[in-house]
Amino acid sequence: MPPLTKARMILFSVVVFFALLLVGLDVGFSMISAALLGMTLRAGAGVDPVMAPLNLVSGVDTAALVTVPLFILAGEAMNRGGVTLRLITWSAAMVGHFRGSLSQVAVLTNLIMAGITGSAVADATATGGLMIPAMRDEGYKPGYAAAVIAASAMLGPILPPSIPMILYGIMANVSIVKLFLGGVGPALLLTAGYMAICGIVARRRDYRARPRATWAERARVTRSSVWALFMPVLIIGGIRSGVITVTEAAGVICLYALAVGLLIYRGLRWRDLGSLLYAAGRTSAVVLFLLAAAGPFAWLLNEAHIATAISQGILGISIHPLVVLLVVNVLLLLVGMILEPLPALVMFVPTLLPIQAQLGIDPIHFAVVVIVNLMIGMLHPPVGLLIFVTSAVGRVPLWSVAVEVLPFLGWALVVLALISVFPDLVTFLPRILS
Amino acid sequence: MKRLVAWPVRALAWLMRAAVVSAMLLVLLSTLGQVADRHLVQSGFGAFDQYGTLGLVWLTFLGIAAAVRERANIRIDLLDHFLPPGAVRVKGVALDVAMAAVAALLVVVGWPLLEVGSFQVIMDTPFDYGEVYAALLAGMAVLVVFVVARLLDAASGHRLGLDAAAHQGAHDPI
Repeated sequence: MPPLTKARMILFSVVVFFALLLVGLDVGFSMISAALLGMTLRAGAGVDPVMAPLNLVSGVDTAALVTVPLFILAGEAMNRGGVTLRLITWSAAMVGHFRGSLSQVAVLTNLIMAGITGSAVADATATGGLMIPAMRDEGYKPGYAAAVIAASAMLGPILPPSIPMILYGIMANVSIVKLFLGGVGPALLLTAGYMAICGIVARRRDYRARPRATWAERARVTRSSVWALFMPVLIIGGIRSGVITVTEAAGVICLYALAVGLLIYRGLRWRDLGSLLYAAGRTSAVVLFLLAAAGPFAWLLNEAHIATAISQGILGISIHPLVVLLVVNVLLLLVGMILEPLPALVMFVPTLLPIQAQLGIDPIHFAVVVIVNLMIGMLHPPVGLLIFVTSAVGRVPLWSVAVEVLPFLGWALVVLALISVFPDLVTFLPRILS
Repeated sequence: MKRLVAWPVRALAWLMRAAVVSAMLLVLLSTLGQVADRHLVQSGFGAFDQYGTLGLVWLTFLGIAAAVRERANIRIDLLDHFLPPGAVRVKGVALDVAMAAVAALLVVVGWPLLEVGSFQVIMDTPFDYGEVYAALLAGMAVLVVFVVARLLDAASGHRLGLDAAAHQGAHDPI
């Protein structure tokens, strides 16, 4: 095969990546294979293939990324230690009397979980395993039950502590604390809309509401769940007060989750620690490998000056910030169709930062729009990871989840439009709290 | 015969579990050590980050080998819903071969990094970047062993007991 020009080489690599992905090759290996092919077929001076392993390692050789396994370990300790179960019980006492009670409970539980683990996949696995069968037993359509979990697990990376926000903060040199605070407004908007959708669907399909819990019951459930409910406060309060850094918060929350699971709720036993560490380590490796695998591809994009071409192309359309944000949103929604959020951040943040800087868009506003946009990609085919996860966890046909998730996807797009047009929805909290 | 073949693979899998747990512990303890040192001990020891990062890199590449063995890695099984079972099996074998080939290629082309890395010292630790790059090479080499074992197991009609996922029923993608 003759050498290809840079643009054709990138196009060829993207097509190869997409084809390998659809055939079912591991997502990380699809990226590596496509990057290796691109390097081999590049026109002019050949690229030393050692760049592939070099960039693989440098993709994860960053101190701040230690938060990824630590937040995942905290989530795993919560699930096994009985914290997740208590959060569901607490949510049921608070919103169980709403129409479509179990779906409302699922949304609220995920909102609180989002404040602890920072990983959508961890949240979907934890709550889906318990809530999808429960919703099925109450007569919910299986696809809808899985869709509720998929949509509400999307809140995980938008609320603090968020793994994509930590990654973005490192790459763009933006305050991670301000990013965390910026995600709160969009997450609450998403939650309110999701709960309204659950209410409307419940009314149409006659999903029942449970009896309202008495205030005495609510107080009792809150007392027994207080250790679990304190977790998000510990993380945000610790970081916000400056007592601990984001990385240290991840370590402290692990210790706290282990202590609560072992000594207070006693869902964890000392002899389970080995399997707990292994499960968390394996899940972390899967997430981190995606980041590593994005390294060679990102290097290839950079080497072909694709970033400059894309930013010039976008700025050539308009220099009005709102129009540019619209174009960026469309581009990222397309990117989200074929790429997971973390690799997409690694590949496209360097492309988008010059645009943000040149147009003077608030960096926190821009970052949150980018992150919410890429998270929406987890809700739609062909690479909607949360659809796959909930379909697998709930043993529900994939397409029924993809169809039932559409109203939630629609609301997420509305929220994306709102935060793009009204920056204060994002920047209000960082401004008053920083 | 079955035990003779299965034993080394299982021993390697056990070693990988131990290594993943150790790397996870290293990450956790280095972070907690940093908190304790900053607020309580104040020893001035400055290499917590370096040890944490070293643990992170080893965790990534050994962990992905373990995840691939247990089919817990991320892949999209969209086509599987439309293909007949025979075609799914053939596709699975072809993808395993492709993955093993790419991993082996990474080991081969990445080998010179061990020498290059040995000149880059990691500050305040007895380690150099050779140990960092070794994580990638070790992880990919182990991954090749696990995938080849899986292929052999499939070829033997799953009589060798080398395929962790086939014997635990863990076929769901993450």
